[in-house]
Amino acid sequence: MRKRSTILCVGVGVLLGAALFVEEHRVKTMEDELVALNRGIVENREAVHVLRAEWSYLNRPDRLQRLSDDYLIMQPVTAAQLSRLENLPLKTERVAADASERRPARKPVPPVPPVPPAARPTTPAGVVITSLGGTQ
Amino acid sequence: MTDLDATQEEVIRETIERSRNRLLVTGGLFAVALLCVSVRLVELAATPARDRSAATPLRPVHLKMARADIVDRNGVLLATNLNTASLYADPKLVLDPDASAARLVSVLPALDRAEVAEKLKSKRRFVWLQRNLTPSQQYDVNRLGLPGIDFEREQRRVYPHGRLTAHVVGFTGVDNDGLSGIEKRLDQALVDRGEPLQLSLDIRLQHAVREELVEAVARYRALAGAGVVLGVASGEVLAMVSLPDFDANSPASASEDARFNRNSLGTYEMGSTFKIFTLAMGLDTETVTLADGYDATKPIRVSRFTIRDFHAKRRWLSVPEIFMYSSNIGAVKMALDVGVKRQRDYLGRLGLLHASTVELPEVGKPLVPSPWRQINSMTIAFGHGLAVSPVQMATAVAAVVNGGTMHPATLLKRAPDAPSAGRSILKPATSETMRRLLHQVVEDGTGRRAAAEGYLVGGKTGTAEKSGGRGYQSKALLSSFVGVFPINDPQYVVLVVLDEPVGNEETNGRATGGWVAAPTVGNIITRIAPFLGVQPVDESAPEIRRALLVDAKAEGGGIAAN
Repeated sequence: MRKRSTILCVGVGVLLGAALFVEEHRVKTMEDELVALNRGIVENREAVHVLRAEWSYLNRPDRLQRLSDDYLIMQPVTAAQLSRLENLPLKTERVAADASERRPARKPVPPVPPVPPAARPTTPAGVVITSLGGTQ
Repeated sequence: MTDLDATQEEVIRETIERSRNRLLVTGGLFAVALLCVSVRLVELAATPARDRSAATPLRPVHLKMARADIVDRNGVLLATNLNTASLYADPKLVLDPDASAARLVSVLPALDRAEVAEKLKSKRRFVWLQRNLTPSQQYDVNRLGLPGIDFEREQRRVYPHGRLTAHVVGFTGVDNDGLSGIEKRLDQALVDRGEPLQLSLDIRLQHAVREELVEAVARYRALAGAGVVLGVASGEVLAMVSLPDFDANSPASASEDARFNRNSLGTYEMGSTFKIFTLAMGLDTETVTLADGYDATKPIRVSRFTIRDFHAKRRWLSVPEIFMYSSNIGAVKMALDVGVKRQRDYLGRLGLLHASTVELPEVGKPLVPSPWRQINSMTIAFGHGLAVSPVQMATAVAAVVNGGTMHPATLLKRAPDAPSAGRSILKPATSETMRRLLHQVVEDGTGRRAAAEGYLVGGKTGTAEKSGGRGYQSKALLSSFVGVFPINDPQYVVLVVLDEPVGNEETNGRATGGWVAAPTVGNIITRIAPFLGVQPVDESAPEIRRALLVDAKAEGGGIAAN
C-alpha cells in the first residue's frame, strides 16, 4: 500500500514536472515569436512611415497635373458642367421625341480636346467621351 | 592455505570497502549536482519570464519621432521625420587619417579632403563628418571598411511638397529645431505631441493659387507676388502663397528675399482696397446712405498733396459710384465725415492696427501713423499711409462680408462644430450692403476682369504707388485685388497682390489692380470653386440679380447705380 502511494506520488511528480517543462518551453517559444513579430511590426511601421512620405511626394499637385496633362484627356471641371439634380428635366415622351431632332436647350459642352500623341497608348481604342457633361 | 585465504579475504574486503566508499562519494556528488539542477529548474519554471521581458518588450514600441508630422486639412503630409544615418569618426581609432580622408572623399564627393583629414587628426573622440547620408552613400562608406568611422542613427525633417508650403510650414535646422514658419512658432508643441498637427491649408488650393500667381508674376514681370485664400466663417487660411519662394528641404541655399513671407511679414500700403473699410464705416456709422454722394469734380489739395481720381468722372458721384469707380476724392470726403476717431476705432476693430494673430513667427506690425492727424485720415481712406500685411487685409475683408463678425486668421484647422471666437464689429445690414457694392465692382466697375463664369464674385481693386525715398513713385505700383465668392453667400476671400507689375500689350501697358490682379483672382476662383463645392449659379437669373441689386433708391430720389 505504502509502496504504491509512493510510486503514485513519484509518478505524478514526474508527470507534473514534465508538463511544466513542456509548457515553459512553449511559452518561451511563443515569447520569442512575439518579440520577432514586434520587431517586424516596428520595422513595418518605419517602412510605412517612409512610404507615406514618398506617397505625399509622388502626389505633389504639380506632378499629378503634369501626368494628367500627358496621359489623360481630362480637363478641369467648369461651372457649365455642374448642375443640380432638380434642374435636370424629366424625360417625358415629348422630350424623348424631340431629342432626336434638336439638342436640349442647355449650355453646349465644350468639344473633346484632341488627344495628345503621348496619350494614345493609355487611351483604350474606341472609347469616346461624348457630351455627357460632368464626366469630362 | 588458510593464512593465505585469510589475507586474501582481507584484501578483497578492503577493496570492496574502498569501492563502496568511492561509490558513496560519487553518488553524493551526483545527488548534489542533480539537486542543484532541480532547484534551478524549479526556479526557472516557477518564476514568470519577467526578467526576460524587460529586455525585449512584449508590445510593439510605438514609432515615436523627434517631431510630430504636419499635415494639411485633408491629411496630406507636409512635413515628417525620416530616419537617416549620420557619419562620424573617432579620431583615436583612425589608423591613417590622410589615406582614410582620401577614400572617404572618393565616395562622398561633397566632403573636402583636407578638412576631413584635419578632423581625423584631431584629439577629440567624436567628430561629425557628414549628417544625413542616403542609404546608398551609407552602403558605399561601409564598403570602405575604415576603422574609427561609424554611423549614428538620426532623424531628418523632410518636406515632400518642397516649395509649395515653404513659407507657412517653415523649416528646421540640422538638429531638428524649428527655424521659421509653423515649425518655429509651434516648435515645442511639435516636439511634445505624438499625433500629426493639422493645418488649415488645403494643398490643392495652395497649388492652384501658386500656379496662377507664378503665371501672373511672369506675365507682368512683377518683383514678387502674394496670394491668400481665407474662409470667411472661421478665419482659416486655406492657401497662402508668397513668391519668390524656396525649397524647404534646402533652405540654406535660398536668398533672404525668397524666404520673406510677403503674406504675413510684408506690410504694404494696399491702395483702393481700403475703400472697402471706408465705405463700411461710412454706412455702419450711418454717416452716409447709398442715396448720398459727394462732389468729385475737383481734386482735393491738402498742404503739398493733391488727391485726384484715377478713373476721374469729374462730377457728383453717388456712394455706390464712388466705390465702383474707386473715387479717391469721394472716399476722402466720406472719411472726413466719419471723423478721425471713429475711423481709427473701426480700423482697430478690423485688426488693421496691430499685428495679425496668425500662427507664424514672421508677422509684420502694421505701420500706423502717429500722431493720427486729419491728413492721415484722408490718405488712409484710399489706402495710403497705413501699411498692413495681406493676411490682415484678407481677414478684415472677411469680417466685412460675413455679416460683420471678426474671426482672427488662423493656420490651424478648426473643428467644423467648434464655437467661433468671432467678435461682432459691424451691423449685419452694413455687411449685406457691402456685398452688393462689392458685386457691383466686378459686374460694372473696376474689377470686371475678376468675373468667373458661373460664380458670383465680388471684390475691389487696389493700386498703390509704392513709397520710395521721398514721396510716392508713380511707376512702381503695388497692384492688388481682393475677391469674395460667392458674393450672395460669402464663403471665401481671395486676395492677390503683385509687387511692381509691368503692363504689356494685353493690358495696354496698364499695371493697375483691375488689369493685372483681378484676372488672376478670377482664374483662381474658376479653378478652386469646384474643389470647394461651391454651387455654380446662373448669374443672369432674375432672383440672383434682385438679391444683389444695389438699391440706391431706398432713401428716395437718389440715382440708381448703373
